[in-house]
Amino acid sequence: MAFVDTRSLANGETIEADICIIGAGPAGIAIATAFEGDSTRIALLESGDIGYDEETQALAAGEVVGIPYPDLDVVRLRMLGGSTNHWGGNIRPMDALDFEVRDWIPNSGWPFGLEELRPYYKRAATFCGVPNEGFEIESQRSAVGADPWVFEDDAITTQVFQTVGGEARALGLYHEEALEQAANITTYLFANVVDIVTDALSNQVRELTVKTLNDKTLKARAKYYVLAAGGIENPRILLLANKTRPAGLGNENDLVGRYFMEHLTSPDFALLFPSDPQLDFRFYKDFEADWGETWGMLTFSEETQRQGGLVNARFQAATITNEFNKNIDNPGMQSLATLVRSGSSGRVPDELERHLANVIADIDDVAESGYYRFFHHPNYPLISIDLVVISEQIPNPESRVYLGEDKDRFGQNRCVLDWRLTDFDSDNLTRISDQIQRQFGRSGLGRVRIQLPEGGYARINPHPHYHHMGTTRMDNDPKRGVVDANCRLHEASNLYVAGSSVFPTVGNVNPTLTIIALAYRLADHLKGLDS
Amino acid sequence: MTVSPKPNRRTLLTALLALPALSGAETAAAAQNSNRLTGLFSNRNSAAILGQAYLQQRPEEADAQTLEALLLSPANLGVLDPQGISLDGAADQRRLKMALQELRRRDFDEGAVLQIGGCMLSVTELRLCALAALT
Ligand SMILES: Cc1cc2nc3c(=O)[nH]c(=O)nc-3n(C[C@H](O)[C@H](O)[C@H](O)COP(=O)(O)OP(=O)(O)OC[C@H]3O[C@@H](n4cnc5c(N)ncnc54)[C@H](O)[C@@H]3O)c2cc1C
Repeated sequence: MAFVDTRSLANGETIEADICIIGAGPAGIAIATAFEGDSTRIALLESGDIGYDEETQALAAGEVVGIPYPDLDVVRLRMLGGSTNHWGGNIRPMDALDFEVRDWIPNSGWPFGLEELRPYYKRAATFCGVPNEGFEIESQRSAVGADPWVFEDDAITTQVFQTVGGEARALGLYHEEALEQAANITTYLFANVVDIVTDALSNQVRELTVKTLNDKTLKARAKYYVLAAGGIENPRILLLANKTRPAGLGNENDLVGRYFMEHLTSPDFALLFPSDPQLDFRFYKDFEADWGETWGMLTFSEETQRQGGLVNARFQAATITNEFNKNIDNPGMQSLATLVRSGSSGRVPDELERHLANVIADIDDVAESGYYRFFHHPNYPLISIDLVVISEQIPNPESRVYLGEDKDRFGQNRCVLDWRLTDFDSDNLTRISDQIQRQFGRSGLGRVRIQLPEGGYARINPHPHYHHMGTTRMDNDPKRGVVDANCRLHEASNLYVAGSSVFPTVGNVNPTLTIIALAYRLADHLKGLDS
Repeated sequence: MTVSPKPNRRTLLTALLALPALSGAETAAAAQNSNRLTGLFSNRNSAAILGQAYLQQRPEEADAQTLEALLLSPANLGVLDPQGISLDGAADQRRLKMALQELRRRDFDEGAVLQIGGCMLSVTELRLCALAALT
């Protein structure tokens, strides 16, 4: 029905709808637009504007303790489209094994499997403006005209990722027109939900309290409510809903805000010395498609993960050419330069690396190729490929978001992020590094050099990805989860949660495609309730 | 037609690495075959340097005979020489390389690996390097 500036509404006014959605990031927008053309009245309550607003953004500030993390008002955005206004746009569905109970990973297991989400992933890809086939190996193969690397027993496999590009990149703006034109959807901008009001004795949400920065207070009432404010704000809002429930709403088992997870990357983790400097790398490089980009990533097969007791991890390959000499006249060298398109650092290899490259080329049987003989000369560059690891974090109840002492502009406690890893996470990195070395070696593709930080993995300073997950985890058992398999709060019959805060485990892929798929699934569930 | 004597199992590896100190017909066979096999370590110096790094970690293997015995253990010979590779001609060189790759794969499978400078390498390939370092 349009966008409404909530600041222009009367103080004390009540917004009425069938479903109230808190937050217009991709999760909130996907749910709202799933009802497009329906008779269900949707109120989408968004804290920010269509564009960036400084004063609103300041509401996202919080405190960081535990593992160093960028400021909380930097790692998320309060505006239509939420954090996708500055995201990387990298997407892919999670793997089947990610949903299973893995006995080597505590607290693993979703209440349903990949098959349940598959149709919703398709819709999620469309929501992001990318084709579903873009995730398929065949599609990338024919686009780039190259094959993925083949490992013995397929112990390591290749997956294709896509980057949302062009108009769809800022998902809020991409769907702005749909929101504007849908007769049954009203998007309230500058509408800050500050309380979820429940009666002491009932397990129903009665209404939401909404405040604006020009000091108006309104109410929003609906049959159903969906909390879709992001992985840090979702638990904060539940914890702040503490008037009748002192521990916060949904928190009777002290789970809200716990199990905060990020994807883990250790910078300068691994360097591959391919046996063959001509190893075809094209499958793993960005391919510029009409809608964005596609590229291959390496990941351990299900079998390798099971056998090795591994967490899910993926490896992004980026070529580095050592000792690269930019002034080489030889046209052959220039074509090599094109081939490797040096991405990096010009790091000078130590002598050992060159000797290693010579020896593995012999053993792995590429040293006789003319190309090898020509280029693998001491005066020519030594090619190495940087393998960037991105792995899942083990669910850890001590890693958490909670309410701090500081207050925001509305007198609401700001949140504290206490991100923590365990020894298990360090052990996992050791296991991952061992496996990646082993599988490259046994396949004869090259050897991997692992660069341990001083003090080993225990001292690792992980590089965050700004993926905030796990803080209102999903489990059918209220003692183990904040929401059930339908993403409904165990403690409130008409309140649902959308976003990566419901992920019980996080796999190795970026979360947003799964967030959107879950949002569509939730919309279907809500439609089912209404009918 | 020149008939080259079929090498025994020891000459197989010896020839591969062009080891000296063989006797009579073996030396001749080894020398002849080693010419065909020099492609394995196209840069002997590189192999020797890795070999030295290996021997620093395993000084107890630092003599050629010990290394030969380890490389020609019955388990290895089952892979290296199942039908008596003759090393006579390019086809056999190819088979030998494939056999070495099989040993490398087996090492990685069984955890017979060692870290050299942060790289995981197979013990068989490192022992070959070590032999190159000692000769
Ligand atoms: C730099 C960066 C790069 C990223 N790259 C990727 C990537 O490549 N791939 C990927 O999958 N993910 C990526 N992400 C993560 C991605 O942005 C998030 O997963 C996604 O935006 C989450 O969607 P959401 O709708 O759950 O929450 P959000 O995007 O956080 O949206 C929540 C919305 O709720 C609103 N809101 C908050 N509190 C209230 C309140 N009290 N009342 C009303 N409204 C409220 C906010 O204003 C916001 O609009 C990246 C994130 C960052 C920061």
